[in-house]
Amino acid sequence: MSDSRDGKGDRREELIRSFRDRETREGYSEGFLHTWIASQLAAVRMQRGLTQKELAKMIGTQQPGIARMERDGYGKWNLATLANVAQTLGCHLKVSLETYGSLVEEAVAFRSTEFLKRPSFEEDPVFLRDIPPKELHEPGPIAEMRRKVLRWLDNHAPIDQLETWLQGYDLPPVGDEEPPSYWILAGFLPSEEKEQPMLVRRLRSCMERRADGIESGIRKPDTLDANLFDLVAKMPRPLEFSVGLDANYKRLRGRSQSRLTRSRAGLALLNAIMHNQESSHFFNVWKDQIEEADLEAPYRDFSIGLRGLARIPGAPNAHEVTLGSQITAYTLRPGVRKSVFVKSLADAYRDVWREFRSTAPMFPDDVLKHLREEGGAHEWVMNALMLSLSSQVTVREPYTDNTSYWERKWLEGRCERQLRAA
Amino acid sequence: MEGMILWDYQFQGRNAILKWADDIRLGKRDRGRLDQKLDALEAMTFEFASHTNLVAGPLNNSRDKHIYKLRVNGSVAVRIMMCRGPLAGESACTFLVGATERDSKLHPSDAPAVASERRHLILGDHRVYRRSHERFS
Repeated sequence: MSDSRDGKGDRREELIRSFRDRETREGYSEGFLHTWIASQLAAVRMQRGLTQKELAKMIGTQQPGIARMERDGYGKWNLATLANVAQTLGCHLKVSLETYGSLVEEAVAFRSTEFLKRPSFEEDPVFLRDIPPKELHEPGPIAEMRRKVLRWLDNHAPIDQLETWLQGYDLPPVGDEEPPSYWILAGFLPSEEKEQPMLVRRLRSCMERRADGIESGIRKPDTLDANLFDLVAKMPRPLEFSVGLDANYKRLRGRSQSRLTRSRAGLALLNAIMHNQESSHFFNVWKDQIEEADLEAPYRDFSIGLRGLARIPGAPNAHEVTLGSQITAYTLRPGVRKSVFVKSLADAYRDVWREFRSTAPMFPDDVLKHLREEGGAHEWVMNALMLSLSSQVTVREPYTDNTSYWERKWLEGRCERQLRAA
Repeated sequence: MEGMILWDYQFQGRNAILKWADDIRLGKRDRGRLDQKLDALEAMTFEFASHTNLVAGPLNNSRDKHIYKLRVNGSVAVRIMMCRGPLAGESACTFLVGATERDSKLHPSDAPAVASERRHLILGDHRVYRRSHERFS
């Protein structure tokens, strides 16, 4: 689609060009004034949850009078009436002479009716807290979320409100492009240092409640779980959540023996745990993940498990987790073919090695041996080598410590042949 | 998200709405005002634009109930016949016929009917009969 009006920069340039003509800019200015007043009256009235009739009653007039004022192109407002409406809606009326340059900026910024909304005096954060007013008076969903967060903090940070947000309710009305964790963090982004610990405390309480199975008033528990763990993964001090994460891991695993990786909440939890580890506290989680891989999706579980393992400094080598005996054990489990198991494990190793390079778990000999027997399955090593050669990056070869001289030569020769063919 | 994509009807590769503005010699001030209204429309939902009467309709004298008029008052009462979409699933408006209004009568008087026909043409082949909206000034 070739829409020439898609960028703010384009719009600004177009307006600056056309405003060089006096009549054009005056026409635009008149139109903007009419649109602004009519639209803002309607937008703020709706924001307050008032009908035209209710507002009319509050200012001592009839509903058609309000309807007229909200009509684009009406243009016959009485300043006293406008001031009266503004005060009734908890705002003040501002009439000001401005430059055409400022009109360009306002016209460019006017991309949504959200831009027109204003908080009432009772909700005005300037009077709620002693904080710089600039960030709070800015239009847009992030400033709105910031206002919500500040009201929440002023109201002693009720946990049910946090749970409401985490279920996706009561967030700025901008659609569902971003997850709730984004909006909550956006609300805290410019925050003072003292606000973050409060959020951490509430998130910990929230995780405790989830671990205890408290679900009163919660309509979407799975969504809440997923967003809660998603937010925890993004928090700057992850170690403070280890107890809650551990408890929730046990809860989600205990509820059903099926793999965590089948649910969004489970995946978010594993991701949060991955961001939480600077010790081997969660070693067993990744061990479980590898050893008890979902029969239907072993690759995903191996990949998560190995990724978690690779993030633990000084964790035991993957050999100690994925022992050779495991391969034999898998062949004994009904419905699992050894070759499928090994291929999945190899793919997971390849991806984790690419991601972590020097700290990745080493490739187990049993798997290498099996792949060699299968024939052609060393492709993952070649791909990794070619990747490193093409990007001129020197990486530690993953097989040097655990493979034989013959094996290395065989791989290098094959890789060279592949490169020549390419 | 709020906001709509704006399209103009085109015929034989030429923007019919701009041509109409040229034909009636629409003044610069009115063009500036018209551009502003379209910028605002682009930022609103259709329902909000209807609420503020920027857009009125659907018109009774069109052949179907899909034609609206964009209302812009200046030295000339500009009324541009338009429709939502019209392709299914798109958040868009298409300007179909340019008109003016005097004494509550449209000029040309058959503008809604023509708009209805043009809408059907666009539904038949939107690549041939419409193009991205172009500013008046």
